[in-house]
Amino acid sequence: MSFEIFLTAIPIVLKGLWLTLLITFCAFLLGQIVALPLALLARARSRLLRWPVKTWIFFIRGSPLLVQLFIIYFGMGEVDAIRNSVFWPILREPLNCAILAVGLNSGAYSAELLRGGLRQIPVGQLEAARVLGMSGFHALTRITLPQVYRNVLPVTGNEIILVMKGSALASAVTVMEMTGAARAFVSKTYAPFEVFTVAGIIYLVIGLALSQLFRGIERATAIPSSATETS
Amino acid sequence: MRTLISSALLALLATTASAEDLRIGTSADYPPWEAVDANNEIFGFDRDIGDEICKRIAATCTWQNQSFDGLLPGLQVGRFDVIISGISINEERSKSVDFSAPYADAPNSFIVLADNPAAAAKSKEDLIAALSSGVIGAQGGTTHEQVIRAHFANANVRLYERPDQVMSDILSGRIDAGVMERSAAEPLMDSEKGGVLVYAGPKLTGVDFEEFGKGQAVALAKGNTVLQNRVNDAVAEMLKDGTIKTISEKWFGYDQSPK
Repeated sequence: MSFEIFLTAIPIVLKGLWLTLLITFCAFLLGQIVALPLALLARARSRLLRWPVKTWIFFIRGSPLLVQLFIIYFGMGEVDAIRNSVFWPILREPLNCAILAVGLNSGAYSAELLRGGLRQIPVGQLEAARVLGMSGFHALTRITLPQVYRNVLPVTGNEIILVMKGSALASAVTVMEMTGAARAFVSKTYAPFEVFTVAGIIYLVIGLALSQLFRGIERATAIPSSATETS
Repeated sequence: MRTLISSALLALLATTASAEDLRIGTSADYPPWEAVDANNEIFGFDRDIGDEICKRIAATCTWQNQSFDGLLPGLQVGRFDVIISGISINEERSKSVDFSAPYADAPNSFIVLADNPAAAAKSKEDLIAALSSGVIGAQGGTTHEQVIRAHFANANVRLYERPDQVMSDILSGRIDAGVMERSAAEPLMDSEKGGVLVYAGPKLTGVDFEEFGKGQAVALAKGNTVLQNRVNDAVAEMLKDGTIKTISEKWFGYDQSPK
């Protein structure tokens, strides 16, 4: 272990920090956006709505993220119809492909979390809402979702850390985030231990900050009377 | 008692083994230098060169497949005794590993879509003029990457794990050009729809861009001079009696013995 290489690696790995954060936040956001419709459709009464969503979630959860990233990046790039479509300006950029792959992956997992959260809401609440004259949409946005999101908040904090770790795969499609920057520097210095240790420490710090952030949100959104609930 | 005997036996086996056994690391994703067949067996130019060297220095060699950017770290931590993987000699690498005398000097090429203006380049100056602010792809951790960074000042460099990925991104239009070894490009060019991809500019070696290095050599851990000298002698012999020329023509169709 050379302390000198360790120190020179810090600014070089940090050059990838911005991209790591960008992928993490954009992919997490995308994941959360697709998760709710997926979760609701997965609970739909119609089999025609339920079945495609469940299949989608099954495929995403059952295959490695790297494979999904390669399909989106290299696979779609080979299809003429996609290259001539309006989506190509988006898929052309490696960064977008990385965000899309990690985001869709996270979306499938988050949908399962939300589905679990939705199941915990007692049917009686919705019946009461209907008696009070609330529409289904109002009952969802005012009664169900605030409770569901509060309940899944701890696991959602977990999910954003998984997304951050997923972002490390982006270097496989030429996006030089922290892992990519670290790998490029290793190929120059042949000092994997020092360089990857630096990257590992920075990931830990980001992870710590994110989990603190979510703990803060949890505290801020907790219902005072239920703060000591034992769930 | 039994443990004593078996450990003594083990020690005996270990010493006789280390005198003869050579673990060779290679990144078998670079045909015709090295690739794996359906049975995961490594074959190619380097395999023949390596096996011939082993024969001449009377060593029993085992081949291990490892991704390119893990090769030199693997050598340093002692996972392999030598690397034979079309590795180009250059100054930066010489700081952390020793090289044998070069056993080959392979030409490199830029590749572009046929309708790219760089396709008309006649010299390396033309190439620099046409591509210096473009997006250029190369395999990460190679001398190609260093050439782009050193001579194509404003180019956006994209790093890939394998040459075929570089090819597919030239084809899809994500990058303007790719740099790779001519030999790695040839089988990929053949398999693409005819005429879509073309070579731009002349074949390039360390004479054109010094970052390409002084040819390809066997890499050894620093300070292993005894083995280094034995390998050097074997390579010199193989150059002299035409073995390298023969193996080169078998795999590349031309002689790439270092001059």
